[in-house]
Amino acid sequence: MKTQKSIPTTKVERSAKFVKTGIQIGGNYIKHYSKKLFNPEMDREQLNEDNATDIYKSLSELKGSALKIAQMLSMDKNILPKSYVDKFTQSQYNAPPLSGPLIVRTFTKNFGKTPENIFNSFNLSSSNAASIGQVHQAMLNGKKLAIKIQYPGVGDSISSDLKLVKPFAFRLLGMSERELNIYIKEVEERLLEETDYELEVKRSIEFSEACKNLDHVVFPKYYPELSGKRIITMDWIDGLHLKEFLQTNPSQELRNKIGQALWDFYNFQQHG
Amino acid sequence: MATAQQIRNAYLDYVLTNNEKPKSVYVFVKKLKITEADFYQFFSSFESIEKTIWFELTFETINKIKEQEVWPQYTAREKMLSFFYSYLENLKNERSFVIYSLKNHHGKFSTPDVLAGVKPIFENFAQEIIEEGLDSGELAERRFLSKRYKDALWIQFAFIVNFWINDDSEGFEKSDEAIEKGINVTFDLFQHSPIDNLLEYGKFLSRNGKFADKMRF
Repeated sequence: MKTQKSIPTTKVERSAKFVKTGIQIGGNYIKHYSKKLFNPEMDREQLNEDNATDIYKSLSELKGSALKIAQMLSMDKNILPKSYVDKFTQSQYNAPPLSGPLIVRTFTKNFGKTPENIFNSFNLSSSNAASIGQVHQAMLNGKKLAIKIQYPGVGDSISSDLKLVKPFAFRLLGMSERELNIYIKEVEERLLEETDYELEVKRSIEFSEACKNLDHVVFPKYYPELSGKRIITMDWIDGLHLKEFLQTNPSQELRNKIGQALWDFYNFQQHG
Repeated sequence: MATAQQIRNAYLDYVLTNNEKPKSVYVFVKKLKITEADFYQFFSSFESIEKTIWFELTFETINKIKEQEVWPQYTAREKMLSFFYSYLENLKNERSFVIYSLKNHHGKFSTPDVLAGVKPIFENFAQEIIEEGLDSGELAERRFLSKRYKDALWIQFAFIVNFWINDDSEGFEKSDEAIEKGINVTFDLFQHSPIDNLLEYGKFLSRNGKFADKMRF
């Protein structure tokens, strides 16, 4: 990317729009370029950090698809500058939780019974939050289970959330409007699929069935009879995220084993 | 023969190393191997060297920001923000001097002597911007108050520079915040507010009193 020494005038028009919607992004550019006049070596780190913080603040107010987009952008690391990635990966874990009564209501809507009447025990506080739902632990017949519950209204708000996110994406990704629309359409379709939990259970079962012969790859068992449009029940599997696992300083041998398993898994998916 | 630049640099070097002025012009020029006449050709006193440095820092900032391509597109508020962000960045290069030169000034509300040259050019710059803002409608024209807008900005100037001197945050980020919040509040007050509309309405009613009376039930 060419480095810019001064703000191109069209950027001011766009950033003025943002200032009106209460976001600081326009002000951040003024700060950056004014300072750069007397410090030409200055890099964009501070600007990116300021912008990322402001964008994150407003995105985290929106649950559902806007947050999901932040995640997707953060995963596609080649597109975003580092400060954005750091900020947005946080959005994978920080959405505020669903209330207890709402959880109970989701269950009665889906199964006609409260969670206590379905499982032996059910933890009303979630153990993990995801962008379109959260995970709870439960016990049934001695088995530890993971219950994924979707935020209500997520499916309905997808199109409008995407419209909200479009101006951010426009600036962040530097695509033309046409390219961006294609990208967003794809995102919309994937998101709509993600909200269909019945589809997810069906596919997960097919998938784990197909991959069952792979070494060192474990899939949880899915329970379609305890799952519905907004709830998925599966085995609870303990484990560490790759990042945290690496912090425990595993042996090179163990790392090789995992690397091999990941590669076999990928290879199998691509080439049968 | 010495240049103004040489004298200025030698002076800076001396005060920053010794944390005080040279004992006299005589001693200073002796060390520099120039004559007193050479010195007085450019400066009338040590203080005038400091005043010149301050003046140049401010003048340079104002000129440079006006050269930006975006400058005409900035609102009055944005121009003032741009000034302060650039100014502190420029001052960064001479931070030790800034701290030294203002350290002995204790009056909170009076202007330090060394800034005597800065105040007029800053106020001139501020007035220019205010007038543009009044013309464009960005700022509210208030009969006796609009003249005082530039004073409010000079107060911000003093506050921001003093804040920056005492700022020990990383990258002076707290000063950035002081600029952003201070200038935004100041310009919020310069803009049309519900109070202005209330006053306009009040004036209208008092002028059309007879008419308004008939409207009551």
